[in-house]
Amino acid sequence: MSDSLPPDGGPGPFDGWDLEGMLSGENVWLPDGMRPVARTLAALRSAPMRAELADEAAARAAFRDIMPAGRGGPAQAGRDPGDAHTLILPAPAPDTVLPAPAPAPARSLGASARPRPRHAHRRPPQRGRWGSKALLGAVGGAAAVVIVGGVALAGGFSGVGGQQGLLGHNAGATSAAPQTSIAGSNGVEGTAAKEPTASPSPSRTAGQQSAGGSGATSGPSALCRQYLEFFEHSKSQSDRAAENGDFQQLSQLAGGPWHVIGYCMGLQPWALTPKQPESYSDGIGVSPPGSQGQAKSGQQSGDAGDGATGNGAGSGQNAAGPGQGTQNQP
Amino acid sequence: MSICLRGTGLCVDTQHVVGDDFARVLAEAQGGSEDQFAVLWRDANPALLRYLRVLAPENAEDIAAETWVHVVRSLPKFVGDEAAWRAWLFTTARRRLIDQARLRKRHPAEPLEDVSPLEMPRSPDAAQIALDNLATESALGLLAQLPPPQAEVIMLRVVAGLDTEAVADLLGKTPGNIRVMAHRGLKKLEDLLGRAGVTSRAGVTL
Repeated sequence: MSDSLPPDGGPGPFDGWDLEGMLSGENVWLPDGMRPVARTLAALRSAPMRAELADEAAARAAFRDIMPAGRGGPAQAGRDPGDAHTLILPAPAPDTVLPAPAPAPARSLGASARPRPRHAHRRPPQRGRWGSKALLGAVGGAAAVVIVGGVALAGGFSGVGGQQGLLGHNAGATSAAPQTSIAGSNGVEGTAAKEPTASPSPSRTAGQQSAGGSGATSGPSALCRQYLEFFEHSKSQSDRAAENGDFQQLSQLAGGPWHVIGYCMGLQPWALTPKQPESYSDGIGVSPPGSQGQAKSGQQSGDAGDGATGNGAGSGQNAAGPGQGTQNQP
Repeated sequence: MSICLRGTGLCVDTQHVVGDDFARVLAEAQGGSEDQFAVLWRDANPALLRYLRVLAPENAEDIAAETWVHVVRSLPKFVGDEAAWRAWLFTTARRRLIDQARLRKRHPAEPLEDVSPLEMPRSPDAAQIALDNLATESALGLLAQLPPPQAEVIMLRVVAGLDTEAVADLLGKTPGNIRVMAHRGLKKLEDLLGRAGVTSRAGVTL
């Protein structure tokens, strides 16, 4: 049966009955033949069945798992949509700093509006197919990181001579000098003579990265953070050399290259911490006020990519809210 | 703003349960309120499941869950009223439906011929559904016999509560085309009911 339009551009005769009224469930006159149809439509829009509400616990668990990263209060709805995936922890005002975490009170309608401690809802009791999808995404992300790390490691081995030479030269230049002299080599290279921070920028120079080797001395957590930050940014040749150094150290700590990601995931408290503005002001040219903006813009470009693919699947999104002019993309 | 289960007293239908409170409920859900999200979920999930059960009966629950995961991820970005919310939800569901169809075309499911019926997974609610919701189940079964485009139009109009223009936008068709498809679907439904021996009783008013 063809669904093409009739020649007049409108629907054919409806035998005198009100199609729109029938579809809307209004009390309209209907011919006898259509009354069973109307009863069928009424059954379709009848009250929810028990089974249709059975997954509420799983839905709540998925909400708890997903929402903390995008939570920002009602005001967030008015923000630029591109910022929605950017993790921005609200800075507590001096007079609103929460005391030490207390046992959660019984859940009520208004209780959830109060900020809850992070990780307060880890490990929901019921996951089912909801949890498996979120877990699948996490496993996929970890696998991608492992693959990229392996490729980077292979690249590091193939070009290890040149990079080693560069690093060796820097090490030789500083010889027995303490780490402050390595910072001095940064000055020779034209970057800021600022001491390496706990979370160095991925765009550090090789000299800084050799100082980053002291990440092992500052703890495996910092080393992991330093290593994984390379995946968030474009890499230069020197970044790769530094990344290889981190990866080899982590391999030794974790007991093998395949255990690096799991080892770092085990140290996850830093994984969700926001970037500190000073980590961007290490003299590479990114100033603190713009640092967050740059991070956001990067995030926005990523979101825009998602949106483009989403829009490609269908065009009904904006039309969903006639006259809204919004960009609600599924 | 409450809903009830069938047989437990006064019930509302599957459309527009949240009503005037929608803006507040949405804002609080966007702010992280799990309870308010549950209000949205209880409002829309029955309609969503019915829509999916007509178009993809085998994995409607999976697609619904996937839809909600996507919706929750993008919830802070959503702006709009309740009609826009429903349209957004069903647009998301439709895209997941299309993705699933593509996936199943590429990776067809293997038949479970070697599995004994005793080992077959079964829904614990199947018997209850059959007993409590015979009329709804029958209606869904009837709709599933319609050509998919017609069934989808009717489900979006009747169950999702979208108007003709919203359905047209969602499906990428003109409103006139949507009306024609709905009309043909209803006539086909009338034909199916007539063949099944369901006739109108005299004096029935709707």
